[in-house]
Amino acid sequence: MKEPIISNCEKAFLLEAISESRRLDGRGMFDYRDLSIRFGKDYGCCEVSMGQTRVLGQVSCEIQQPKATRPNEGLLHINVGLSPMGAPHFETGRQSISSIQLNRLLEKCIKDSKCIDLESLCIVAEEKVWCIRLDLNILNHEGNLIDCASVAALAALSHFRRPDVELTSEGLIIYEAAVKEPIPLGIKHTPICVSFAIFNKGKNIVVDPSELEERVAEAEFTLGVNGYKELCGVHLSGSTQSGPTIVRQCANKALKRAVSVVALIKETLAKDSELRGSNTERGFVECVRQGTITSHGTPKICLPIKHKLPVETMETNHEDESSCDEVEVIGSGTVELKNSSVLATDTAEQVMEVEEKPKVEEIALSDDEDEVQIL
Amino acid sequence: MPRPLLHSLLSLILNQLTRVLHAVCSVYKQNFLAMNSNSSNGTHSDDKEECSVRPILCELGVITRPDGSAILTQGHTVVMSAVYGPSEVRMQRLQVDRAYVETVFRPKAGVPNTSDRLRETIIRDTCETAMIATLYPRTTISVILQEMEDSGGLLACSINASCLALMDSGVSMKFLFAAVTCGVTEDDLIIVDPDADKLKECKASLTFAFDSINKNVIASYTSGTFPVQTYNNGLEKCRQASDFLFDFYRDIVRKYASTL
Repeated sequence: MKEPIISNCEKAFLLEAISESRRLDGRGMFDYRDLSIRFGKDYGCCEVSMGQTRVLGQVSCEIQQPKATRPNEGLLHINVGLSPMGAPHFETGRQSISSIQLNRLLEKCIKDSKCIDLESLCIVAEEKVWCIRLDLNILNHEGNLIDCASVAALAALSHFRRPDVELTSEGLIIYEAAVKEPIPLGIKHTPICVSFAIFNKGKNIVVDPSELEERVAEAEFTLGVNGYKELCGVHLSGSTQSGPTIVRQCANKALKRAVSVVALIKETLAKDSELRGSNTERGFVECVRQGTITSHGTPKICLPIKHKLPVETMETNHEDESSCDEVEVIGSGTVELKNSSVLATDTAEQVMEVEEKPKVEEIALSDDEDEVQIL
Repeated sequence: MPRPLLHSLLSLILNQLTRVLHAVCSVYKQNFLAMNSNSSNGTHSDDKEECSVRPILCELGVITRPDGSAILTQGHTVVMSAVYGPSEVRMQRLQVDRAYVETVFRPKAGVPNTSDRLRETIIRDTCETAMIATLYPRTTISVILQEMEDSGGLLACSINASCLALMDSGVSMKFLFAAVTCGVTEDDLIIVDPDADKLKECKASLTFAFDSINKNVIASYTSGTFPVQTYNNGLEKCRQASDFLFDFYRDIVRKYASTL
């Protein structure tokens, strides 16, 4: 599917709003959307959402032969998958301009800034090294993919643990996680990307642009910065008549942002390791927002397989099934089931009442008409 | 007799009737309760453990871009699904009499391999059977699935997630569908909805998808070797477990619809 086009009036409206320092989603020019990080059950798995933009990151590893030019260094591959889930114009299996740009930007920010200690990934020089692969899947594209992806990348890399290995005379032994504690990657610094959209010949700048803002902007300026307030990548796409003041202004904002984001990542990581230590439930099961009208859950349910009542009518059949659920439930799920049925009957009665009233009126009207005709 | 009076009388009778029906149901319920407690105290206590379904959690409309989306967790297996469509179709895939249904399955790590392609085909065939594709000629409906966590029964979870996303998107369907996996142990015992640890001990695994009306099989996928009798037993157990999933679908839609 092709990317939907933006109409001229939509564009003009957005530009006018921006020139009056207003944004369509009500944020200030330098307000960021909410950032949240959730870790999965496996090591190196995380989901990051920035407003409605969502990215899933997963790090995996395998043993490979190193490059001939770098015989004592491990390998790091970064792969951004623009899954069609994120937006209808993303296609699988084909490298588009935006996916190449995203990939290259992340490589510049993470790989070229040497944030991962690749030498520690060497097992036998010139023969065996660890190859770390970082996969990022775009779940929902609502603008500013690069920032979200870079946070997901850093969070996944810092969460990841590789299995411990030992070289013996017989060969290489790879220990499972249960046998020997897996080892985290050596991370020297913590780079993330911060993007700015530039409008109206460099007069207006917004941070964390939404999808529409990204497409209307004349230029997008992305800075790679780390938690130590160092620059590790600069990228400008599009063209704008901006001077050095803008670059300096953006850099200052980006540095502040990087410090807070890195602090959040560290805080979430600490919470996760605490949960892992205490052996409580974790993973994406917690990711489903519960208690909203669009969500629903049930505790573990044992099914009475052997006995089943003969089906009489649709309604009795359903009642029987729900009753056997209630019998077997271990936990507090029964209350929820009952509530839902009560709700349903309530509304059904209401609907019946509502339906009756207009009918009465109609009948009264027709009676009147009859009378008129008789007269 | 004036018509308004007749109407109110009719509704009164209807109300009474439903009340009687409820009373009958509750009697049934109690009988059933007694039966059940007998069976659990009796010889089938071992079966109970095998026939449990892992806890299910679901949220509809989790992401904003697609027309319909859902996240479904069955135990620790988590799948996110999205549906786009009916939308513009590519010329080479255009079908004049029906919608072109495409499915994409994305693993969380690495590039999609042949087993993912196989999964895609099974899910596509299942979705296509359920939806009324002939209502949307010259269009495409795409179902996209993203694996988020796998701890057994990924295919069944994906099929269920795709059904929930289709429900959320409002694409017309003939019936709903639900898939259940069961494992076959070395001594030919059947475990319904096993997790990854239990699945490792199994010599075979069977996955069935059922329709919501007649509970007929609309998809079947097996791996490993097992006797024919075990297949039939597994099918029957999965069919009964699917009732629970259809109830779950009904509950979430009821909750959704009663609040709106």
